[in-house]
Amino acid sequence: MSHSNLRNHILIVEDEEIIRSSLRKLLERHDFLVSDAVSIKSARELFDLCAFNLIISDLRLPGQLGTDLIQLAKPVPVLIMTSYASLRSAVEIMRQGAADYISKPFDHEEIMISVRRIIDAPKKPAEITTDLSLEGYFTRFVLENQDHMSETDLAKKLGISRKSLWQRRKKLQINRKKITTNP
Amino acid sequence: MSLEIATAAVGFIVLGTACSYLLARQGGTISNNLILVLALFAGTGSLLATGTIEMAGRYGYSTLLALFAFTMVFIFSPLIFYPIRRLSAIIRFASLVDFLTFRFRGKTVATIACSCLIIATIPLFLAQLLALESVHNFLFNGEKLLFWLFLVLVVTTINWRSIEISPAQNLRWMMAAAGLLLLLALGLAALVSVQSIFGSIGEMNSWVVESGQRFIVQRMDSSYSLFIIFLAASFALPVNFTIVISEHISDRQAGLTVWAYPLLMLLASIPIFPLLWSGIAVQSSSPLQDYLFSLPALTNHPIVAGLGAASIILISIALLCSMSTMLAKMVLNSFILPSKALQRQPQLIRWINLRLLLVSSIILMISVLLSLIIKEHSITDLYLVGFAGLAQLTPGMLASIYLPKANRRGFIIGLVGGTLVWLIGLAVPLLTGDWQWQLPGTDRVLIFGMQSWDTWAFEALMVNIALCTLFSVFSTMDKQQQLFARLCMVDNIYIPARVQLSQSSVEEMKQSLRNALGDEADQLVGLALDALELDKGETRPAALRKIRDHINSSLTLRFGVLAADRIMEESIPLAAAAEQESDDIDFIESVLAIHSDRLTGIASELNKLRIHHREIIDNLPVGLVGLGQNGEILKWNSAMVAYTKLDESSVRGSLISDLPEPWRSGINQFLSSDSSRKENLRLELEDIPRWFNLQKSADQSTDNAFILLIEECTNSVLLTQNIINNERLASVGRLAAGVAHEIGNPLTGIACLAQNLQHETEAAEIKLSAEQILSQTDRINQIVQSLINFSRGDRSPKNALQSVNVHDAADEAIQLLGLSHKKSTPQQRQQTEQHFICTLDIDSYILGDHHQLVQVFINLLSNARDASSENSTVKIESEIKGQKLTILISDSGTGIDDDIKDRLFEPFVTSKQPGEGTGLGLWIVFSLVKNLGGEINLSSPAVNSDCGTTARLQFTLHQNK
Repeated sequence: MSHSNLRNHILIVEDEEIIRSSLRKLLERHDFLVSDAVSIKSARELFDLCAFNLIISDLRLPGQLGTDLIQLAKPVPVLIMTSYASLRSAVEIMRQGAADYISKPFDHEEIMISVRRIIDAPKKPAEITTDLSLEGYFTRFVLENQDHMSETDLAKKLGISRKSLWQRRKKLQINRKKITTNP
Repeated sequence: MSLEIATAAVGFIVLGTACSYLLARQGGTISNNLILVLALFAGTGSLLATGTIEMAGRYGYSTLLALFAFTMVFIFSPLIFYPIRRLSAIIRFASLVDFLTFRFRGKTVATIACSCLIIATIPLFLAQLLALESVHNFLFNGEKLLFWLFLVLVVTTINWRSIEISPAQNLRWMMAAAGLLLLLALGLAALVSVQSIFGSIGEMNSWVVESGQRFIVQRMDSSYSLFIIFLAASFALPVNFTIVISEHISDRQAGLTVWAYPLLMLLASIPIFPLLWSGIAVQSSSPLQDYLFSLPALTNHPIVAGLGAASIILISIALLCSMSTMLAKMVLNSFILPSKALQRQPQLIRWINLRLLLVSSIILMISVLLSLIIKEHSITDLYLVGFAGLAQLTPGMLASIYLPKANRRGFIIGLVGGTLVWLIGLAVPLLTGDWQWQLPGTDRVLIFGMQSWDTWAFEALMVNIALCTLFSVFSTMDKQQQLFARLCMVDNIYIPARVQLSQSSVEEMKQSLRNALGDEADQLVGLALDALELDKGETRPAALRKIRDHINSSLTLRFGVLAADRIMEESIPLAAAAEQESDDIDFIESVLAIHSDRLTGIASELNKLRIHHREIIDNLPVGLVGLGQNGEILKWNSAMVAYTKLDESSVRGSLISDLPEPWRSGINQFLSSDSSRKENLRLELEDIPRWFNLQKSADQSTDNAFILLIEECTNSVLLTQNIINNERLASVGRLAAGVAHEIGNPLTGIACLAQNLQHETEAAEIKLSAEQILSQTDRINQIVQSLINFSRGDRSPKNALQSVNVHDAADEAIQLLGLSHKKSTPQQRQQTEQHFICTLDIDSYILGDHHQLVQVFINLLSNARDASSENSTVKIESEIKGQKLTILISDSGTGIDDDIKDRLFEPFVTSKQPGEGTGLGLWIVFSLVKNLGGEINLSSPAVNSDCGTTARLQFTLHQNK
């Protein structure tokens, strides 16, 4: 719980009361400054979106999609939560400029890893949009993450089954070199 | 001189018969035709050799008219013989008596017709004997008794040989030789006579004018009677009937007789008048009937005289032989065989042959005796009387084919009346000499005998016709008579009714025939099978009917109508009454097909229409089966042939219940059901499931008959199933997605709360509870996740089914299973791959979706693995049978509990511990296998084992790779 976290201000947009308060508790426990709103509309009324370091939003919000926040809060990174995301919807979310996405129900450790990664990451928005085709995203994601994530986690993160992950690896010839050569 | 003539005669006889016999042996169309026509020509016997010269002297040119009338029967044979020939192709008539018996039914008819025919033929026998006697007298003028004995011996020997060797072609070659010799003799005799007596034809002509013969020969006073009697007699002449109808000559040969016979007659009648005039000019002392040999002898031409004598001897003996055997056969057929128990005779053929010989010899002896006591010695007179007698049978014969109203009573009374008049007026006076009777109360005198032969001949015929007409009009016919009257009509085509036999196999027929015929039955059935080219194991009703008809016809030919009818009634009776049965459509079709070129006018147009409709039905893209009331298949169109791979000719006429499976049970169940339509009947044809729509409609024209329409709907059924499956999968997917979203949020909430709780408390107990709550949410999550995976990632495009390699899919599944362990290390994966032993065929393809198949394997293999202990193996094997691929996945694990066996494929049924399995695996497998068009079942314990489980998957192989 580094001191610098105190400066990081996170906005949670989530219509489910329980999830919102739980997330808030979690983040506050990790020393983040947390604000929350039930919808995009109320978030915009209550806060200046650009003042946050990170916005965590549900994808399905009353009236609007969480991804709308990406444009509204630019350049603030937005983390999108979805229930049972598929690879296709994940790619769609990322293509729209989300910093990351996480599928519900989520592991607290998992979401904290993601939050830290976004906040600690240097901002290079241009790179995100270089290759956003389905295969491109997949390849990049797998190559970036396979060293520190298990196959199951990768699949879950991508919102696909392990089988699909394996098939896509085979198809795109992305081998899991590190583990096979160096267990 | 006599000796020279006799030697020449013997030489000619030997030469002529030898030539003819060799010609007959050698065969060939031309020689056969020649023999046929010459034999027919010789059928008139000694009439042409001797009688006509006397007739020419007596009646002048009327003789030519009579001869012309005699040939008319052949000129008009399309009107007279052809209809009978057509009928005789189906029911073989051995004689005219048989035909009349067939038409008018009953033993009385046979008895009376046969008696009349024999009595009428006797004068013809006498005429032959007389001709022979006159030759004998001319040559030897000696011992008569020896001559008669010798004659009887010769005829009997020839009869015995001809009966033994070929009863069918009754001495045709011998007759032909006689006919040839006769033609030569007539021509040469006239030539040498005219040459020696007149010098040239011109001088003969002037003599005719000078001597007044020119006017004498122009007398025509008896021409009407001669014409009518000769015409009528030619119909009933046994030789004509036998050769043209019974002996089965071809249609071409029958056509030949139409012109060849009159031509020969014309040739034969040319020398008659020159011979006559030559004889008159030299005032020969011999009777006119001997001119053929006496004139050449007179003019010192012994060779020609020998030829004449030879021709008379040969023709008379040949006719005696053939007529006596014909009459013997009639006697046998009409009197002896109908009441004889044939099965008691061990050697039936020999027995019959002996009887034939006996009867023919008796007839011959009677004739010889009669010839000794006869008063009349003119061959012409004998012929005239005989022809007048034969003419009595002609009204009945013509009525048979042209007058449907003529009935048995009319025929019998007419025939008896006519024959009686003939007997009193002509036949008896032959023996007793002419006599007179003054009609009481008048001054008119009735003269009986040849003096007024034309009156009596005409009267007898008139009485016959009048009585026949009268009694036919004023009496009724029973059903049977009407049926056969219709059958014999000239424009009728014999169509056997489609009746049911009581026998259902060839063997049964043979057995019951054996009861009536003894050992003959085997041969008879064998012949019928050969002729129809059918197999011994035949059971089709139509084929059995054909066999029955064939047996009937050969029986009729051999034993006569009466005996054949009796045998058929006893052994192979028809099960149902004939009038209720419909005609044999199959037979009508075949008859029409054969005779289509003979149809003209409207009939030909109708035939075109028939062919058109037939082709429409045949080419329907829908299978059509026509059924008779007994379940017999009458129609089987080309679509049915395509469906069933059963040839039309092999199916038509068989019973619908004799079809091979699976058609039999499928169609029969439908036929016995009340509904008129059955949809999507599933039949496995060559291991490939196919679906058919069946529809039946009662044929309006005949009761109880069905028309069955069968349409294949495999494609649409498969498509529908596919759509239904996809729809179901899609709806499951939608449901799962909805559930996932609805469950997702509360589940996330619970998970969040539990995780927070772990941080908010120090109590170990609460931490543990939080941990448990988390693991429970994880379980829910897994279920929802698998539902979503099933519904989403694996939804294949509906119509893009591809060939899928089964081996590859299994291989991929095994690899995926290796990856799926959370902490998968290479060793573990190595282990996993060893765990499965896959011996699937590398080249097996099925039609379906690759991902679905992989999913099936994953679920089944993971179940097998989870149920097994660490080091056991799971075997994946395949076997291919025809188009079926069977995949067996066997483990030696814990097996399946009995209490869930029945519900294995229901969702949420699992034998695993709570939390380990979702219970959705097999349900998904089941859905996917159905979607792939396969079958799945599980058996526990495993095949060939006492533990574990075998999953058996069945797919249809796909050939296109």
